[in-house]
Formats: sequence, C-alpha cells, structure tokens
Amino acid sequence: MKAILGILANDIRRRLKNPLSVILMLLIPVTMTLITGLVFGPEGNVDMPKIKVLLVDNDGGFFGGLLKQGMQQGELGDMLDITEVTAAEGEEMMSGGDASALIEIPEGFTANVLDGKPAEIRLVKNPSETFLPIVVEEITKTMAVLLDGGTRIFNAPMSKMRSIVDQENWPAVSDMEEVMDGAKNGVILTYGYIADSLITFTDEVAALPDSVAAVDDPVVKDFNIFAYVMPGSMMIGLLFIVELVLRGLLRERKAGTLRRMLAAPVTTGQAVAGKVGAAFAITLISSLILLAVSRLGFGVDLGDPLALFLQTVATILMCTGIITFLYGAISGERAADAVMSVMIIVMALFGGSMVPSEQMPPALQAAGRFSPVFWAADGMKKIFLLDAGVSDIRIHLLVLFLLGVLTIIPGALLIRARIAKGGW
Amino acid sequence: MTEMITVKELNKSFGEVRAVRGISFSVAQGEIFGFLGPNGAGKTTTISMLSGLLRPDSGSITIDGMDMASRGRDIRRIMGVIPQEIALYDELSGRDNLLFWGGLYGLAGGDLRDQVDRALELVELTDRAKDAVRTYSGGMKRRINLCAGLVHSPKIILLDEPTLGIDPQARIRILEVVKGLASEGRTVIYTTHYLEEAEQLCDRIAIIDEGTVHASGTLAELVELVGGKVMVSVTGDFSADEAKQVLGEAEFDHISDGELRVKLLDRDQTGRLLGGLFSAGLHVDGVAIREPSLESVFLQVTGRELRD
Amino acid sequence: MHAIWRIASCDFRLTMREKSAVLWIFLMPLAFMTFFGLSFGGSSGQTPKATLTVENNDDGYLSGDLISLLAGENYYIQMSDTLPEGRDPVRTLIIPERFTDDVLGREKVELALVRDRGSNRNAGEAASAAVIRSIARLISGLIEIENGLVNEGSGSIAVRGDSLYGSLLLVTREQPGMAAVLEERIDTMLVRPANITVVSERAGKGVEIPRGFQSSVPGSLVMFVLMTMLFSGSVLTAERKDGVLRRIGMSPAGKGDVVAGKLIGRIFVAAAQIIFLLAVGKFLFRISLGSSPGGLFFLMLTFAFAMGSLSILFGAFLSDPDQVTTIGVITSLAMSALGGCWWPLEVVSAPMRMVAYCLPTGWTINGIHRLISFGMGTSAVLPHIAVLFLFGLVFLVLGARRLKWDV
Repeated sequence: MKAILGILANDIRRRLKNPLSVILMLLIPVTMTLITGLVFGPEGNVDMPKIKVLLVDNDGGFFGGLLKQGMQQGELGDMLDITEVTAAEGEEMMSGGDASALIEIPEGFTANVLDGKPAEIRLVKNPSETFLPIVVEEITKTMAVLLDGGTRIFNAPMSKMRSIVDQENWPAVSDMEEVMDGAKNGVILTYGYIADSLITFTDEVAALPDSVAAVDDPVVKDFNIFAYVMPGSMMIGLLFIVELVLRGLLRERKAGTLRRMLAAPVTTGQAVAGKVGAAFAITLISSLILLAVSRLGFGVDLGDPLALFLQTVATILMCTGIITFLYGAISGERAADAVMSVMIIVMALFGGSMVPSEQMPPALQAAGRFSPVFWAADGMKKIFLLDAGVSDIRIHLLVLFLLGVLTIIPGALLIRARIAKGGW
Repeated sequence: MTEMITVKELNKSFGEVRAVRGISFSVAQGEIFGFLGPNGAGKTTTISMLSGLLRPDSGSITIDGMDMASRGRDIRRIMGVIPQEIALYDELSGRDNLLFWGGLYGLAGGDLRDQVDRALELVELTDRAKDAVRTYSGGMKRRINLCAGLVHSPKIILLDEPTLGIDPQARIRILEVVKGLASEGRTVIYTTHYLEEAEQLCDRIAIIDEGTVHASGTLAELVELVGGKVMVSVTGDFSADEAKQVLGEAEFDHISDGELRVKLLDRDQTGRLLGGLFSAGLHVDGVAIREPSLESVFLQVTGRELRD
Repeated sequence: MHAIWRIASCDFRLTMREKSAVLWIFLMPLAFMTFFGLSFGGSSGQTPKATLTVENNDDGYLSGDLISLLAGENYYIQMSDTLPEGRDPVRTLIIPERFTDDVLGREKVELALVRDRGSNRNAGEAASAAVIRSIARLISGLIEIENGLVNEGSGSIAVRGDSLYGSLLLVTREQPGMAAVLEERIDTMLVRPANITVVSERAGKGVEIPRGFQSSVPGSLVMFVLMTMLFSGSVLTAERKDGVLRRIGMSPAGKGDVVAGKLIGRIFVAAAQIIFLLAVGKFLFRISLGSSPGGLFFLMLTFAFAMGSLSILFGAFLSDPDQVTTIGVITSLAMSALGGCWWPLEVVSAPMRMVAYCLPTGWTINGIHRLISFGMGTSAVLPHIAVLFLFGLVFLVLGARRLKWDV
C-alpha cells in the first residue's frame, strides 16, 4: 500500500510541477462552454435580429393586403422585417442572399380566393440559412391555413358578393341581405372561438421535463446555459485528462523509469495501481477545478452537495475505468495515438457532449444510452438544472459505479499482464 | 596541403552567455581535426556556425575558398553534418531516410539510389535497410545517423560527438569509417569529449573550453606543451606554504592548501618527492601519477579534468 | 525547389503512414458528418421531421382527427402511453379529458405543448406552428359544419339575433344517428385539399440539398481541415525537439525552403482530405457541390493554406508538441464554433456574426454557402479567397520569422 501511495504521490507531484498540459485540457470544456454561452446568451435565448423578408405583391387585391397586414402586426410584426419589392428586385436580392425569404403573392390571388379556386403563395427561401427561412415558411403556411379556413367559412356570402360585383346593375336589397345573413352566421360562429378563446393553446418550455418526473419536489431554477453545456463538455476534458495521466505509464516505459520502479521492491500490480490511482486523483482535482469555474465563473448552481459529490466520484471512477480498460486492450503508444482520442470523441459525441441528447433523433438517442458519457453528463445536468437529489439520479450513479468497477479492475489487470509479459 | 577550412576570430553570444570567444583554426584537406572539450565548451555552437546554421557575431569562416557569409548554401552542398542526436525520421526505414537526406542535397534518381546503397554498405546496414529506424539498436541508429550525412559524398564532414553513448564495437566501427573517409581525401572535423578517441583518430586536436581554444596541434605537439613531463598530484593535510618549503625546487603546476601538482621528468622521481613530504611530517592522503598524455595536457591548459 | 519538393513529399508520406492521423483526417470527419447530419434532419429536404409525443386524455373522435392532422404536418406522432421505457418525450402535446365533447359543446378547452428544455429549437418552433395550423383546420371545419346546420335550420344549433344557441354536442344528443353523420362529415372535410397553399423553393441556382447534411458536410469539412492543419504544427515542434529540423537546416535547404516544404506537405494532406470528404459528401450523402466544384476546392485549399500557416506559427512559438496539439484543439473548437461550423450563423446575434467575419472559418463557410447553396460561380468567392490568402500570408510571415532550428 505504501508503495502504491508513493507512486501516486509522486505522479501528483510531477503534475503539479508541470501543470500546463492538464490546464490546457481543462481549457477545452471551459472554452466550449464559454463560446456557447457567448453566442446564445446566458439564458440560452439568442437575441435574434428581425428576420428579413421580401414581399412581392403581384395581386394588389384584398387578400394579398390582408396577408401583408397580418404579417406586420403584433408578434409577427416584431419578428419579421418585411420589405415590399418588385419581382425583379426580389429575385436579384434573393440570389445575393440579402434576405431570409421572399413571399410572392401571385396575380389574381384575391380573385381565385373569392372564386374558391386554388391559389398558390410562392415562398423563396435563402438556401444558406437553415433556421430563419423555416420560421418564415411556417408563418406563411399558418397564414395560408387561416385564410383558407376563413374563406371556406365565408364561402357562400363571398360567392354571392362576387356575383353582385360582377353584375352591372345596382345590387338588389334582397341580394345584399342574403350576403349579410350568410356572413353574419359565420361571424357569430367564429366569434366564439376568437372572443371567448374556446380553444386555447399554450406552448411552454417544460418547467420540468417529463424525463425527470421521478424528481421529487423539484426546485425549478432559472435556466443557465452554462449549466446546460458544462456537464457534457466537461466530460471531454476529464476523459482526456485520465488519458494524459495513464499515457504517462507508456512514456515511463520508454524513458526507463518504469523498469527502474519495477527493479525496486515494487510489484507490477502496485505500479499499475499507483498510476491508476494517480489518474483518479488528478482527474478528481481537475473536476473540482471545473466545478469551481462553473460556480464562480459561470454562475452555475451546483445543486445538492451529496448528489454532486457522488455523481462526481462516480463519473471519475467511470472515466478512469474506461480509459484504464482501453489502455489494457491496446498494444503500445502508437495504438494509443490512434485509438484513444477517437474513442473519447466518439463516446462524447454519442453521449451528448456536443449535441445535447434531447436534440438527437430517436435512434441516436437510443445509441447514446450505450455511451458512458451520457450517464455522467445527464446526471450532472439534472443536478445543475433541476436540483436533483441522490434518489433522482440513482440509476445514473448505479450505471457509473458499475461501469467504473467493471472496467477499472480488468483494465488494471490487463495492463499488469502486458507489462509482465514485456510487451506494451 | 590545401587549406580547406579557415576560421578566424569567431565569436558568438546568446544573451549574456559568450558561447564562443575568438576561436581561430584551420584544417587542411584530408585531415581529421578534433575538437576536444567538455559538454558546454562551445563545440556544438562552433559546428553550428561552421554548418551555416548560426550566424557568427563576428569573425569569418572560409571553406574551400568560399566565404560562409556570402556562399553559405554552396558550402552546405559540399558539407556533411552528423549531429549529436539521432536526427532521423524514426518511422521511416533506414533506406527511406537516406533517400530523403540525400535528396535534400540535390541528389536524385539512379545517382541517389547508388549513393544510398554505397553508404549503407559503408556502415554495414544493407541487411536492415528496409526496417524502420525505430526498430534499430542504439549502435545501428548511430551508424545510420552517420550514414545520412555521407550519402552525398561531401568533401567536408562535421561530426558532432558521433559516438555518444554506444557500445565499444559500434564505436570502433564508426572510428574506422571516419578514418576511411579521411584517407579518401575528405576533410573531417570531429568533436568529442572522449580523450582516447581524439588521441586515436585525430591528426590535429584543438582543446576547447568555455568558448576558447586553449591549445591546438598534433598530439605530439600538445604533449610537448607539458614538456613531456609526468604530472604528480598529491592531496593531504598540509598548507601550501609547508609544501613549498619542503619541495622548494620542484616545478609546480598547481599548489594550494591540501593539494599540489608537480611536473617531474620521469615517474621514478615520485618516491623522492613523497619522501620529502613524509620526512617533513606532512600528512598525505592520496597520490596520482599521470604520464604525459592528452589528459595531462587538458588538465594543464584548462586547469581542470575532462569528465563526461 | 528540389529541396521544397523533397520536404513536402516526405511530410506527406509521414502523415499518411500514421494510422492515428489517417483516422483523424478521413474517418472522424465522416463520423461527424453522419452524426450531425442525422441529428439535424438527415436527408429530408424539409423541416426536420421531429417526433411529437401526444398525451391523449380524450376518448372522443376529435382528438383522433387532430392527431391525424398533425401527422399530416410531417411529424412522427408518438403516443405517450406507448413511449418505450426510458425514452424521454422531447415535446408533448397534451389533449385534455373530454376534448371532443367540450369542443363540440363549445366549452373552453386548453391544449398545451410542453417542450423539454434544450430540445431542438428549430423543430420546437415548427411543432408549435403545426399545432396551431391543425387546430385552425379543425376549428374552421367545425364552423363550416355548424354553419351548414344553422342554414339547414337544425333545431339543436341556431343563430337567433346575434347569439348562438345550441351546439354540435346538442345535435348529437338530440338527434339520434347524427353523431355518426357528424363524425363522417368532419372526417371528409378535414381531408379536403387546401385551396390556398404555399409552394417553397430555394433561391439561387443551387440544387435542392438534403437539409441535415447540407450543414453537417461543409461544417465538418471546414472543422476537420482546420484540425488537420493545426495539429500538424506539433510535427514541427517534435522535429525541432528531435534535432531533425536542425539537421535539415544544415543541408543546402534554406529556412524558406523548409517553411515552404512543410507548408506544401500539409497542403497536400489537406488536398487529399478535401477531395475525399467532398467525394463522400457528393456520393454518400448526396449533397450538391454547387455549380463550380473547382472553385469550392480552391476555396478550401486557400483555407488550408491559411490554417497551415497558422500551424507553422504555433510550431514556431511553442516548444512542446503536446502543447501544440492541445492548443490546436482549443483553437479549432473556438474557430469552428464562432465561424459557423457548429450552428448556422443566422441564429447568432449581430456582434457574434461580426466575430465570424474576423475569422478564416467564417469567410470559408460563407464562401461555401455562396458556391453550394446559391450555386454561384468561382468569381463570387474571389474576395473570400483573397481574404483567406491574406490571413495565411500574415501567419506565414510571422511564423517564418520566429522559426528556430533549435529548441
């Protein structure tokens, strides 16, 4: 035990003397978190500029004007910056990417709508943008549906109106009454839905995602994007730090210090245990630094201390275990160069370090459950954002501890066997 | 003999540190010129200036009639440098390394391949030519390192401690190769801190320490500097004055409290010297006798022993 | 020139021999392209087909109609009671109890769409719009039927003066057999094609590009060329540490030859990478390379030149290869994120967009959009190429001046 502690202490001392590599590794998650926060704002709401939309009104009629007005009023007016242009101007501006979308109301639009004939609104999207043109498309489609519904409801009075307009004579009073009656019923029927808000629709961001319905009496916090991003990106840093420390074993073999160590009354097992212990300890120190940065630098609420402690220890145990196991499975430094960083990035990718799990399609989300990173990052996220307690993350803890124990011991044994055989 | 290398008043400083201070020497064609000095004496800095890697602060270097300052690239073309470290691509085979280094010196095509084969034969590495350098033993790496500087058949060869840390057999092989090169008329500058190498190999030797050439010449000329005398060092419990009183007429090289060095014509006189000390009741701890050799020359001109 | 070629080809060969390098240069970008492409909509050319979980507490048929309208809105509908164990619903539409009866009876009904924190914003906004549209369709259909019954003079629903009496619910209760008739009428009404439709197309001459891969391929391409270039800076540091650089310096090759050789060597690597990834994009992910693939290649090559020069600068300033690698990782992450490789730049604030244009990555991504998204010709990206070249020149001059042969 003394020998193991000696090796462990020596490794920590060496890292403290030359901490630059570890500090640089720690900068990876900090940079990722910082940039995401900078770009999307601390509350995660982008201060988006108005969406630039070009409008070509070839109709000039009532319904075209209605659409135009609808888009310039209320909430839509705050979202969209509509500029009316001619068809030629519009085409030119769009091909230069000067707006997110162009809406073209075709000639005869109003007439077609009145006649109940099909009418097409043309939407030209900026191909270089992914998000904004879709917003405009969704808005336009919704306006079209509303207009479509409205014209169907008022179809009878509108047709009558149309025939009256087409007549050359002054309309008969009876005709006008028919129009008014028809329209009146529609208005009264519609009025209920609009004025009495018969069907209301609320769109809300979950105060508490159903996924953690298990959390008892959750405290809902203000959303902090750093708390959302840090757990995932932190995992990349921590896995690379374990890798860095265990890589030291290969380097020591090359430098001869490993042989020298084994020439002393130290068994191979003790040497490996010392190194793995050092990896655990250095990663623990690193994660404490990252947690401190999260709290002090990014204002993340670290949540329940016991849950945080257990999750951190479980995470580091898992990280140390997985990397130890991978080292046990590889043949030397060249293989390590090829395999380790790729494995780490793949685990991080599927585990939600780069794209949050919730945003992945179902198949990838399911695949993500097989990445140890998911259980570490997701648990930490629940602690940061939802004040989850130990019982709420018990499955995460169980998975991480089990993974840690099941990989760290065979991994260390494999490394020991490799050193004993003289390979590696 | 044609003078191949002429160095005059070379100076180089790195900040406050004066690495080379006014070094001058010349080397004739076909000569092996040794630079003997401890680590940090300024040998590698001098080699770096000779190979055009470093620009001297002052002084001039003329090689094969060309001035380094104006025709550095032409000079480098006729020069082969074998650096101290194994400066090779570990992952490439010995042969691929030689093809690359030869190519850098302008060789190409069949000519390059022929020269590479010849160089591999010279260092007896033809069998392992296709293996990656990282699989070579220490001695083999030294040999291929040497080889990489010879592929282009340079007229001038600069070897910077080429035998550092290798087994005696490999060292002998390298020394043989160097001798062979000189016998072909190539000019060799050889830096080392191994006295015996300098003694065995070099036609002329410059003793360098702290950036200065303290003495230079053939081995015989250098030994002459110590007057061909035996150097006896005595340590013990005595003061400088006591010792001077007892050995008044002796030729002292150094004297201080508890330590003295005396030059004697031959080692038989040592008994008389010690007898004098004993009879005066002076306590002697140790005695060392050095025959006239490069080691004693080094000790005399630099005032210290040459250690690794 | 001979020496430059030797150094360049040696560097190229050394990189291609390294298994880890090959993994990073060719396979990892492929994995990223696939992963991010699938994450952001895969090969569908439309709004990402997201999953909408529906929690239906109603036992009538109108909720079924609403759900079928939603399904017609390009959604995977996942009923909450059949949600696989352990799968979190990302966005859930909650249909309350008695929805059908309340709607038919003109009672107040509240529908809620609950979005998980951090769920894809893009898909979330679209879900919200889709729900609104489906409700609008349902309501207008119902009003039409109500209107029809009122005009027919149904006793159970009528307009008297300015008020409405009765409701569809009353109709079904008072007139036996009407429930089934109404249900059928509503069903028929809802499947009618819309009169007013929106047809979408894309501006520019570019061809329709699968959405997910449209952004994942250029983003990953730029990010991995950047990584390949920046990591190569560590080779320079390692060669200096091993003394190889010093030895090259003692050969007739001058400093300019070395810098040029090293730079050209890594541009070769980048060229191989760019060709491979563009081919993968075209033939595997079926994205369009725009109307001037040559211009695209040249733009990427100039980007590689700029970043290769930056790596020489790193290699010149730093002495430890591991540090160069880690700083390379951090710089690549920062430059990729800020330059628009990770998320579309249009969603970031104006100041952050300005930041993007201070970075070579921002210029490159913008240039790629011009070529691929708008189908413009090479002349449209000449300013981009010029800016990237300038970036490269500045890095190169600084790096070459600072480069030392020794540690």
